[in-house]
Amino acid sequence: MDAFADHRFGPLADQAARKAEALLLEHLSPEQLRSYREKGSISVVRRGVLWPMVGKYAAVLLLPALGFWLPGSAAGAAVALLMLLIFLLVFLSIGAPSLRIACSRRRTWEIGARESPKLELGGQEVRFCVRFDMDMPSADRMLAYKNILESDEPYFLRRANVRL
Amino acid sequence: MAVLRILNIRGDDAIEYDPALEDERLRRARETFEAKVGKGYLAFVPGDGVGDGTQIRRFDRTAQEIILQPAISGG
Repeated sequence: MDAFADHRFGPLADQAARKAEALLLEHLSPEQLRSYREKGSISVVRRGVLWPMVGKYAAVLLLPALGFWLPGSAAGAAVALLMLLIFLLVFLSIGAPSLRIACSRRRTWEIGARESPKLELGGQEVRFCVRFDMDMPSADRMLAYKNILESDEPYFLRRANVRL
Repeated sequence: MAVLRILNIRGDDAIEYDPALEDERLRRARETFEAKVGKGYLAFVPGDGVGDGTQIRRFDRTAQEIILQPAISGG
């Protein structure tokens, strides 16, 4: 086995896992610590509409339609309205989950050891396809997801794909 | 003492340094930070409570702890 495999599967993997878990425990709030000990997962609650993301989606919808709008022209306004409807329909079928997440006022993220973070949104569970660019022990992955979701949630939503 | 942690397959590597002392350890921490962030790593200064950590893009020698971690990609 090479050095990389040693760290993934060998005795060094246990050592790395213990080290990562110790670091994770240092960075959990009392509530997260309790959750980790009971369920092996932690929660991150975020509040507030993600206005920059909502604005981006609005621009994506409105700008193409505005391109057809001519002041004083009824035909231009009708074409712009038609374009807006078409873009709205296409967008709602493709980008709706992300827009719904951005518009929500409260988001509860569940970070587990084995899967990528899940989002509980209005009683529904949203899953994501996402991975780190480098392999790490599971506790380090949990800490890294916690850092991202607590400090830069829009970054996560830009990078991760909603699992439909 | 302050610490720069780099998450990796070994758990993490740590570089400890005295923020008030412009020495070899501080220089190594700063260079490691700049090299990793230049390669796309994310840097966070953990906060005391939930949600009050911050992401940084420049080395902050006054931070007590900085965590460098790999970026994420959609699967």
